[in-house]
Amino acid sequence: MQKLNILSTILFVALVSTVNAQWGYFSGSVQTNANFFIRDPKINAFNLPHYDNLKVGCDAWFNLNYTNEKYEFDAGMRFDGFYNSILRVPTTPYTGVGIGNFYLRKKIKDLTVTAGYMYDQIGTGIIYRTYEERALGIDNALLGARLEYNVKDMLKLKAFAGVQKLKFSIQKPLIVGFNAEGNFNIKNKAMLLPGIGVVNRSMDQQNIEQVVSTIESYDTIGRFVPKYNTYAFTLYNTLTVGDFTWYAEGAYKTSEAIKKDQIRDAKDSLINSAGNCVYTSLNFSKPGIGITLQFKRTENFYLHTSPNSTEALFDGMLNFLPPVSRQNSLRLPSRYFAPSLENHELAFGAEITYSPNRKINFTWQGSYIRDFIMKKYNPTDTVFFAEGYFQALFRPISSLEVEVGFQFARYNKFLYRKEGNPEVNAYTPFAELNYKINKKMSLRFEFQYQHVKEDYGQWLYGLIEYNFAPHFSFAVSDMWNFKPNPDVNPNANHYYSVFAGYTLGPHRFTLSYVKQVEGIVCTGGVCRLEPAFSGVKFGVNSTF
Amino acid sequence: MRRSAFFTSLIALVAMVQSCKEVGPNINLHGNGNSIGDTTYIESPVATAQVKNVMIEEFTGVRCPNCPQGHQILATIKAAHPDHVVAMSMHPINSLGAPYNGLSVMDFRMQEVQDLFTGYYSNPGFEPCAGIDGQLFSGETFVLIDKNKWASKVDAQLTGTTPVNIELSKTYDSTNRQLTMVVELHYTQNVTEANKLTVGLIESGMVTAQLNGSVIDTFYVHNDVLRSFITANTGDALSQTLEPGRVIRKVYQKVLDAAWKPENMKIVAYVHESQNSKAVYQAKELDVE
Repeated sequence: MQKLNILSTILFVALVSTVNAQWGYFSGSVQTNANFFIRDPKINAFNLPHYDNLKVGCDAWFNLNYTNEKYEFDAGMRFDGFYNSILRVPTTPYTGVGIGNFYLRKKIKDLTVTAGYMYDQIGTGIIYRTYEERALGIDNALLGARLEYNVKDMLKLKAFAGVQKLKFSIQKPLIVGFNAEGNFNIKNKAMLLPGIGVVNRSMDQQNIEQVVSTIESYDTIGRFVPKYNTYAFTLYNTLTVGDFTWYAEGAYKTSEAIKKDQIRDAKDSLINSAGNCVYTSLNFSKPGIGITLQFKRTENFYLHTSPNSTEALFDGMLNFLPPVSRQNSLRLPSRYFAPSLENHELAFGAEITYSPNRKINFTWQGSYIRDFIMKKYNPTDTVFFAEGYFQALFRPISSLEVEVGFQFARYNKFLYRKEGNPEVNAYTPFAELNYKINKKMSLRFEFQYQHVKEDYGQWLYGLIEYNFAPHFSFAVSDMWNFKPNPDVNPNANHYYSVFAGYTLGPHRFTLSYVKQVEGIVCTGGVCRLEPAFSGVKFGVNSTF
Repeated sequence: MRRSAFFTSLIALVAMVQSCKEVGPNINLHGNGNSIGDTTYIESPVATAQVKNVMIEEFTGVRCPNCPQGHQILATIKAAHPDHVVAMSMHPINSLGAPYNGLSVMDFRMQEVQDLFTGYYSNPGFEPCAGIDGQLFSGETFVLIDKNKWASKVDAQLTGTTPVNIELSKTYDSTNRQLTMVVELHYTQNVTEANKLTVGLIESGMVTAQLNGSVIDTFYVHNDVLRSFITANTGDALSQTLEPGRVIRKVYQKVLDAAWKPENMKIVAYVHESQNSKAVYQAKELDVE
């Protein structure tokens, strides 16, 4: 009987696999966020349409993909709905509904053809990256076509052309690109992954006329003939030898009208300049120890669909400059982060992790970012960003994990936020404790203190989280500006948060009451200033 | 194989760099050498809005057989709306504009007009054609439209209003042929679009050869022909905030060419958008003498 059961199971699986191979299958995801805005003048959550008038906002994405492995074909479509959405521009609610993405992809022997909206990147993204980052309202997919050709799985050639997505419309400038990536094994002792890439952006007539109009408003000394086209080139390689991995990338773009460094000289907003960027990272990894060193130098590497002003901060962005500073996950240490700057930047980063045994882990991290021009321009010139970070993780018993650490950050607020003190020093000790009560229940505590005299003053943050696997999760937290700097904020505000989550199979439901201080919000190394948030959030996530 | 493909790609990249040269957009790099004064202030009370005038920018040529019909249509439109239509006939440098050897006594062609025709406006592929208030009318592909549509579009535009008044004044010193032009713009409404001011000199009553149908008419009288731009051909940018009460006063000076007859000349000035459209808000003309 048991043998019969096993046989029938095998037959069923084989049948389903055949049918799947023949007919393909569907997969996808659903994400919905609803915000109920509660006006709170005390934390500056007011004087905005969503707090004063609209009160409710909602974002929704429904993504459905079809894959047929037998015919090596797949297709997908995504419905996007934004209703009083504050994702794109946090101060200006936006409403728009439509097909946010669709694509068709077919593999024909070694050639893969894709048409529709595409997300892609060359190298680390210095000359080209299209991606979606929902938390920041970024969706700069390329609407066009792409050809990829694999030469014996050792050389991959890629060519693409299209226009960039803008909400449910397009940006008119044309983008054309080519990428070749190799894969060379040298006598099983070293591995080389070289690549080259080129991207051309050709501005449309309307955008170039706007550029002309801007330039003609300058004194004659600042005028120049802008280019329709810019060409960006990159050469990169990953070399792996033993425990070492070295990545190096050098990129250059031809001259065009670019936005000038607004901090130093805002007289003329556009200048005619070529740009370059060098990025490298060296990684050493052995059991128990890991070392990463990073370096980046950027000079006028401004790569957008056009230099004209846009509705949202990230509209028209064609590339991604990898940041060197650490992106912290804890609330107070994450308040100061240095996103990549396009004009002038010299950045160094180092991280060491050391685990003498399975119960102890240490992390040291440091980053230093400044202008590569040594000359001081004005009194606001100082280090852009510097960070020293230490973290120690202990697991004295299997059910307990204790993490303690300290962060020092020097942050040029005037540079990154166009306001405030150019030298903000933040000292942040923190601790996190994870305790497993039993197989199902666990508790997590966070304690953080931040002393930042030049910005908000002094903060305390505490969080208690209770998890009851596999369904429930609850958390309560408070971020208290207990000794505020009266120049920035006269009130000793509390920013409470209460969270409840319920997971049922592939579905996750969350409900939270949130008060969040105004500040820089970073996701995936990209940051923007967001106003304070006060309200209730409800979210549903599901995958299938 | 893979190495050769990799290096072939590298060579292709280098080849692309060589083909990167392009002809840039038309831009005024040197400012306005004719400008001798530029002031601005806010007036109160805000001026009363003028009656809307219509600007006709005509592109024509002496070897264009149908262009005399266009000139006739222009004359009819002007006669029907005296003082409310401003016309400027421009001759691009193309095959329809080349003077006749031995027959033409003047050459009206200008590079700035050619740039305007093919750069600022898109060449619709025929002449005569004209922009009526710089509008891209519904159903049209180009701003520059066929002569048979001019009259109806002018009538439609005349029913509109203008957010800016243009006041023109001048002094002409015949001893040294120096013309001083004062253009005052009085905004009566808020304008958020970027604006430009274009000023030019036109001349009428000039006799030179013109193809008319299949006949070269050597006694053809050319009117409203652009002789010179005073501002850049696409206009000079108005960088001020364009709010009600805003007055922008620009003073230009130009020594007239010896071949020009000031008694037949007019100053033409018009204010228009420059970024999202080329819409003309208001136009005015004034006799030089």
